[in-house]
Amino acid sequence: MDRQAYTQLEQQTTPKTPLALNLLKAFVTGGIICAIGQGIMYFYMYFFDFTERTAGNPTVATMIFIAMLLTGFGKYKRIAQFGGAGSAVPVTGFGNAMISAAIEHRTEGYVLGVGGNMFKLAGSVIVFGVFSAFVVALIKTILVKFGVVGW
Amino acid sequence: MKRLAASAGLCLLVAGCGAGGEEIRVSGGEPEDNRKVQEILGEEEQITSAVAVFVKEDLLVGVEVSPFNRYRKAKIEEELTGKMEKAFPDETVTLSADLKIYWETDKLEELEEEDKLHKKVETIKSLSKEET
Repeated sequence: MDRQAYTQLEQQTTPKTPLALNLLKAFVTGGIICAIGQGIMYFYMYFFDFTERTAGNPTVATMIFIAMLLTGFGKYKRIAQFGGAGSAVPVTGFGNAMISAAIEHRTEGYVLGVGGNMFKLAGSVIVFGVFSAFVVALIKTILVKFGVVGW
Repeated sequence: MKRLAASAGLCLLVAGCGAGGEEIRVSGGEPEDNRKVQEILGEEEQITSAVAVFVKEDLLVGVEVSPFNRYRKAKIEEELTGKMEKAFPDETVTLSADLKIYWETDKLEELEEEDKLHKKVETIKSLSKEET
């Protein structure tokens, strides 16, 4: 069997990805997560002295904490299976990536297992997050210096 | 069950899109000043609703900006503050498009006691300056 015949056979037998359905599921899941986040933000604004500008930080922390708890109890897995990228792209995906790696390497010990592997996936989020924040800040600083935009 | 959920969702969507008419509430000042504030804010098309309260030398204004103008929130705030300061040179104007300020200013109307009112005004002022 040559390469072409194999590719054809492979394409015939592989089930088709329901792309539109997956997109819709991701959209709905991500939307629900964001709606919950908005609710938590309003909670912080209403009951504490946070403004729209400052309420983002505690909201993100709470969302990550909830996702971590759900991952630990094994519930986030189901959400991720249904929602796909819709559950991974919001900040809750970060908490999930951290805790699931920690659970996976639990048997290797606390230091080299949990501690060393916890940021296996989440580490790249932090690295690229910090780097892109640096680039954006640099661009903004230059634009402000030249008087194109204000702070 | 699915049909029920779909129709409930549709109802919510329709209700959400139709909600909110233009509403401007002003209180605490002379009738003439109240009317002036109402006129200035009424001309602005980017604003969906507003609350303004006069407390002694302070004029606190909380405005709600329409969704697509939210990207220009800072600029709208600046413009409106300028207009207000021009119209009321004797008052210290605190104007914000932040929802928190809107809510707190809205609560001011119900407060009667002098020192509580003063405390609240100071809180709102410090909140509107909060950066972190």
